[in-house]
Amino acid sequence: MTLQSLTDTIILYTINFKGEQMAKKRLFLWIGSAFVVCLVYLFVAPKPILPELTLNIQWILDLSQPVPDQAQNPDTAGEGIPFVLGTQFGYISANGHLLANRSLQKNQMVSITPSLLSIYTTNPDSVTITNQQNKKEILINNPGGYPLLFGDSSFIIGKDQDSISAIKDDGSVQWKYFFPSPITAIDYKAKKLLIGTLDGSIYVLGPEGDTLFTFQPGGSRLSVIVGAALSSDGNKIALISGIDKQRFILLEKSSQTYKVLDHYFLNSDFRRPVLIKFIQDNQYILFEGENSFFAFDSVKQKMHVISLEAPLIAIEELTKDQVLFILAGGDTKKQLIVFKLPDRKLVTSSFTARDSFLVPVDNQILLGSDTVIVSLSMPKQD
Amino acid sequence: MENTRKNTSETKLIYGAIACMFLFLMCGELFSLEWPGQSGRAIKNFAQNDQGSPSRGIVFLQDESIFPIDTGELLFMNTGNSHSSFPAPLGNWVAIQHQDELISIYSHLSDFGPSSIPEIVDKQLPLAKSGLSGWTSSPALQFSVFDRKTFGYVNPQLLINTPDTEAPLIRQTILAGSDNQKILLGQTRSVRQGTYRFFVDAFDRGSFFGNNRVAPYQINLYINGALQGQLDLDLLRSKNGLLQVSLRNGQNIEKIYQKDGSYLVAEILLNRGKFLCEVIVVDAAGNQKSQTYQILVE
Repeated sequence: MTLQSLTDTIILYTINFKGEQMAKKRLFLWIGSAFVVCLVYLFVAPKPILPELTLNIQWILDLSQPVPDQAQNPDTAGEGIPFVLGTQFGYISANGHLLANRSLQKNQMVSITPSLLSIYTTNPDSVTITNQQNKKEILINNPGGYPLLFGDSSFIIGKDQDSISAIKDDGSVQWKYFFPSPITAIDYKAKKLLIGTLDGSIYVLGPEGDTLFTFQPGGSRLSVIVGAALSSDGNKIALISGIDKQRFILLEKSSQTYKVLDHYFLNSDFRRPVLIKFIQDNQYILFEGENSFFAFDSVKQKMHVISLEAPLIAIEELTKDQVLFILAGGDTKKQLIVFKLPDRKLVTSSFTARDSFLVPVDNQILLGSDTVIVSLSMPKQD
Repeated sequence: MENTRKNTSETKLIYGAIACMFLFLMCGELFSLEWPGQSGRAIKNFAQNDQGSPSRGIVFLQDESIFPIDTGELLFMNTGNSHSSFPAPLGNWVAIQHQDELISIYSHLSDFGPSSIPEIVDKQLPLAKSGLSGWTSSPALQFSVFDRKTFGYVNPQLLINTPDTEAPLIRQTILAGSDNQKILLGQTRSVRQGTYRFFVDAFDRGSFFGNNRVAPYQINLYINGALQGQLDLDLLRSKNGLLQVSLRNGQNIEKIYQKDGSYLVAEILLNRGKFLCEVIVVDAAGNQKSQTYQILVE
């Protein structure tokens, strides 16, 4: 070995030694950082786990059991809670008593609210709407459509599904409004009627059938309204509109008109009616998304996304407990999901039913499942 | 030299004509629309007077597969499984978006799965079967076409070839004065001077409609050779909540459509003298029928 080569070897060794030291330092630095991040994550990121939640069953009502005689007649219902389960319909009381239970005959349909009831055929020459409080009957001759009942207000949706008539107490038509194309969405709150149409327009009508507001959201390749909801005070409108891309639009009343408050492009591509609803004093707007459901906080202007496999059937809330009940599912497989807003899933329960419904009553939620109605409530907190 | 130039221009002309013909045939092939049913019998047509209300489309009595009129894109559908928030008089229905801003609407269908209709539809593949859903008493299909450009329902017979060789028929022409007393033209020869409304009761028929009485396409009223009233049953659209008929001069249906099935065609002031009144009714295929009346106004 020459002196030169020895010197080179020493230099290389020194460099390698220094390099190894540097690499070790770096490694320690990485491991240390990762450890700190893990610690921070463990203490900061997780949310506290709530105690295991079990819903209390208040009562169960079996509709397949024989019912008292007076329950055969819906006119004895008084101010009951209406239900429709497949071909069965009627009224129940909040404490689980069956006030009325009847079956629809072939080609019969029913429109029912706590105060109004109408049973009609598919092609009726006349329609009778019965007021459950005063037992007064409203006879509509040649209705030219189906009864559309909201609370104690009666309308007729025209046989071509492109007109709405308001019905007076004597059965006469108060006003009639024609829309350009078939109606795809309807909501009624605070004496305002919100209509969405196939051509992608919305209309807000006042109590006299006057046009309070019209709007075409646009912004999508194809215009159509697939979902529309009014807030309980009638001052906000939420819409799901258009195809490619589908949009969520929130409008708020401003002076005599409504102005766009917020809008989002969605990844959904629904070409069918989509459930959309205001809840919690109109702070949140809930609606179905692609394998999910959305909760839009209109105060914080924040969108929360919660994964959900099946299509939405119903959304109801227990105001006092501030929990949300969601009914979702396909033909027979259904799910009841309990949420704490904005995005905390508390309970998921699967069941099999062809027909189902959800109705909130005071501090309980009524779940209908084929021939059974169950009253559920949240456990009392210590 | 001149001959060569002439030959070249002739060749260009021939090629141009062939290209035009080819394009025309191609367009015809591309934009040809077909009826949604294959063997159905139409019992109602567009804007037909149904006790004072116009039909929004063509109603076929059939129990068979329904095909889209052309290729298109699924715009909206509503089935019994859709959890709609209101009773649907259209029953199970499908809307298909086509080119040229046209939307075809098929209603009263039998129940179909929510995923049974693809997003892009072809006129060879059935959408569903006609059915008993919604406002119908027998298996039927109500077929309508909505035009986004005119913002109304258009007469499908103007878009799809309808075999029809029969001329329409005029049942009667009625005058009604300010006292609303009805005077049947043809039976009454003289009337008092004043303003009169002219009502025409006319209908079309043909094998396509199974010899049912359906609406004509156009009703014209001439007085002494001058056109005094024209009603086109080509478009139905809503304006400020009121339903109007006719693209050219939209008129409120409450005024035009009479409960007895006739149509108001004109409101004319008749002064003293002799008048020749001619009513010409035309169907969508171009067949026409005319009726002449002589009126003496005293």
